Amino acid sequence: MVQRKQLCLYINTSMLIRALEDPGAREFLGECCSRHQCVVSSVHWREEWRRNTLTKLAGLLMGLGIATVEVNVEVLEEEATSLIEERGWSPRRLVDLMHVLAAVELGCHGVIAVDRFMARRAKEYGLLYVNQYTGCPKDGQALP
Amino acid sequence: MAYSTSTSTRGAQRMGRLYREWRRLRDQAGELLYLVVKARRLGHGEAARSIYEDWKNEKIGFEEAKKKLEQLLAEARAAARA
Repeated sequence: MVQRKQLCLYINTSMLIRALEDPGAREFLGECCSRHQCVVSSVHWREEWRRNTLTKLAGLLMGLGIATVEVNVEVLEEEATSLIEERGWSPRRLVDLMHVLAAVELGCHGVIAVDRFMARRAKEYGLLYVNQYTGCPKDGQALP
Repeated sequence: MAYSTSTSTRGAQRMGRLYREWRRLRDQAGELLYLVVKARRLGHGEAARSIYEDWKNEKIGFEEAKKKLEQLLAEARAAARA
């Protein structure tokens, strides 16, 4: 019997890179993505990837059975830029903001990330912040 | 493992080579995309995107891409004022 996935969790790049380098992070991601529906978006492919890293990343995503969900990247770029202007954040965080906005647009319950900026934005947008240190949300766990 | 919404500094202690490289590229992508959006608002999105793609495809370095985008933006602003 196929078990229904509990929550939709958006994987930020910070966690994907960790999973490539840290067996503990990889194990966590595997466990969490078997319980919940994990997604990545086309924002991930707007980032600059070294060829070797890209190959490893594709292997990781394939191994976890995670497909890319399309979002309108240009709209997210515009929204993230406006937020940066309004809030006075560094443009360096533009891509991470796009990931948060993509997670919201896709109706995800949370983000899997290892990054303080992402943690703060997740809280602000009412998203769960999940990683190998917080642990994977269990079935029926209350959303923020 | 208990779930909590708190963040942790433990992650920073485990940074590997890939992670450090990715953070640098992420920061650079953010800076360049910010300029791309600014240029797009002034009607020069296509030229700006082309410069970004040249950086993304490693045809040009970050400093060169940033300089080109800033120049494009300055020209676009001057044209908008004229």
